[in-house]
Amino acid sequence: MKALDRILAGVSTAGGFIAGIALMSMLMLIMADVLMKYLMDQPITGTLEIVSYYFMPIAVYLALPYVERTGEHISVPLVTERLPEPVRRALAIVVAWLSAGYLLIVAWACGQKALALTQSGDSVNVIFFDLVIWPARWLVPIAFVLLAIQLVHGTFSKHNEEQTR
Amino acid sequence: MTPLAIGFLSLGGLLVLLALRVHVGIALGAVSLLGMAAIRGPNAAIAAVADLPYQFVAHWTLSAVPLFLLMGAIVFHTGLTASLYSAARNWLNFLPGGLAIATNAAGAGFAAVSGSSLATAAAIGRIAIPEMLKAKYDPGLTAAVVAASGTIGSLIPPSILLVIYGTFTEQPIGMLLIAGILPGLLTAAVYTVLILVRCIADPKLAPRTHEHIAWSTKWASLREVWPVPVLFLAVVVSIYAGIATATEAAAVGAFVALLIAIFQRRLSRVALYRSVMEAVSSTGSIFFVAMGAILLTRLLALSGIPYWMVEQLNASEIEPLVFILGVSVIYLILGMFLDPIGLMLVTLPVLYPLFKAMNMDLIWVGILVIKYLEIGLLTPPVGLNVYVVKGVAGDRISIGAIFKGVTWFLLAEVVVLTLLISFPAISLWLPSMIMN
Repeated sequence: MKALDRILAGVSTAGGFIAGIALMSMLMLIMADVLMKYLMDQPITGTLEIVSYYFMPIAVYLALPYVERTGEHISVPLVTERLPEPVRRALAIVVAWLSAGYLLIVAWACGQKALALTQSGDSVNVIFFDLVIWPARWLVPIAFVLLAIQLVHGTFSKHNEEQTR
Repeated sequence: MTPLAIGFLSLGGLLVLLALRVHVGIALGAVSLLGMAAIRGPNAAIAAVADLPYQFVAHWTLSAVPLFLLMGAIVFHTGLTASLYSAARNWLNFLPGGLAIATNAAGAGFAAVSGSSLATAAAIGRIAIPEMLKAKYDPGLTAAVVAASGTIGSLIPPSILLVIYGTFTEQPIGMLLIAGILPGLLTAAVYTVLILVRCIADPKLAPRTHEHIAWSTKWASLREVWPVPVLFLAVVVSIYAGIATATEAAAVGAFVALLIAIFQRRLSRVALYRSVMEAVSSTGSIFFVAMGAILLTRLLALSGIPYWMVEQLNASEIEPLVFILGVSVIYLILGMFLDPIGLMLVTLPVLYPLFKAMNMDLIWVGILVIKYLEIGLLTPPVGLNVYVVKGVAGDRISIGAIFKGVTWFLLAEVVVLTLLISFPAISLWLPSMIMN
């Protein structure tokens, strides 16, 4: 359990870090494009495509497990707060498993799609060249599987924390 | 079961899941998946969830969201807030309730560089609350003014909520952002009048501090805040002059914020790391909810609910004003329980077709919707701005006192909303100038 926790911590932090690099790269690329466009009338071809098809999905999807780990996902705490402790805990575990079930279905569906697009070599045309975009598709299933594991694992570690306290 | 019945059942199921504390993004996605499967069969549902999550995120316009978040985070972590507050304080403290008015002004100033209400309330609260408590200000007023002035953050550009609204309703983001300026300033002005009137009527709320501030100090503190107008203009002028799309304006804003921080030697490695990770974290949580909302939009379209509601609306021959009041009530009630982004994304798929059917100006509607969402940040039991302020104030101010203090600002919001509804020009005049 401890080992799994360490791995998850490492993976989600690394994911968050890469998402951060994608965000900074997005900033620099768009800025460079704006400057080139207005100062030299020479926009950087493919800015829109690279930002949309790569930097955005990387920044968003790789951040998801990190967001779950730092507890920033949005939920409504109101009703469950009034329930007695054991009921609340049981409910949290059921909710986590069902949520994980949903995430895995989506991950499977997106994985199938990613596989199909990988085989057909999905790409977009950017005037001078074709930009291959299928690799970014794999971000969705990867992120959702990690998120599902993190969610279920989270209820156990919270459970242990409360018992040892 | 008819698709319509399945649609309504799904909306009911959504509320149940939210009450059970399922992540908003998962609740939205899960009911949509089940609903679509019930209407069109499992294969169609799987096909929808296989494609939409990626398609939605791989989006040029929406990349303004992480960039605006980054801009606000950089400004916060490099310490501009403290300068802003001390300038506002030096200039406004001579007024009755001067520190509260300064807090409000600093809130409006921070709003011009940050796109998020919660960030604005947290940033200003950390500095303003200790100051006001030290001066023996009424704790309820102290906390309420911070919570309320935070709400200006989503009106004065940049604004995360307006970018997302614009994406969902297919409205020009640049015009929406510009449209938020005057309503934001109007809100700040009405708050100021409220604070003045209350503190004159009851001087015990805000004991006068007799300190003399030299003019040289005043001007010096004002010079410290030069990055605020520079950043604000960098964003607004880029949009106004048509130089940049909202995404490009956001990049310019974040870039200029970085340059200023480097120039002021305030950008430590830690500050940069924290800013980026904070932006990434907020981005992830916002998009996760939005992904669910895009699936709900698809389900609703399949169920025919929006079409059915438009029909009902046409049959009832309801007056636009009555309709707007009805919408206000819906937002007021749901705003008590949901966070702004969740609330907007849950309601827009249902309400947007109605706004369109009523032939309303969707930019004006956007400003009203943001205003409703902001009011939801202040109303109990789930008033997120109030909790942010409570988090900053700790044990010094009770949650009850804060909600009581906020009641006054809710009255001020009624005034602001009445003005915004009666005079659409407040929202629409500035954006109409871009066209020319």
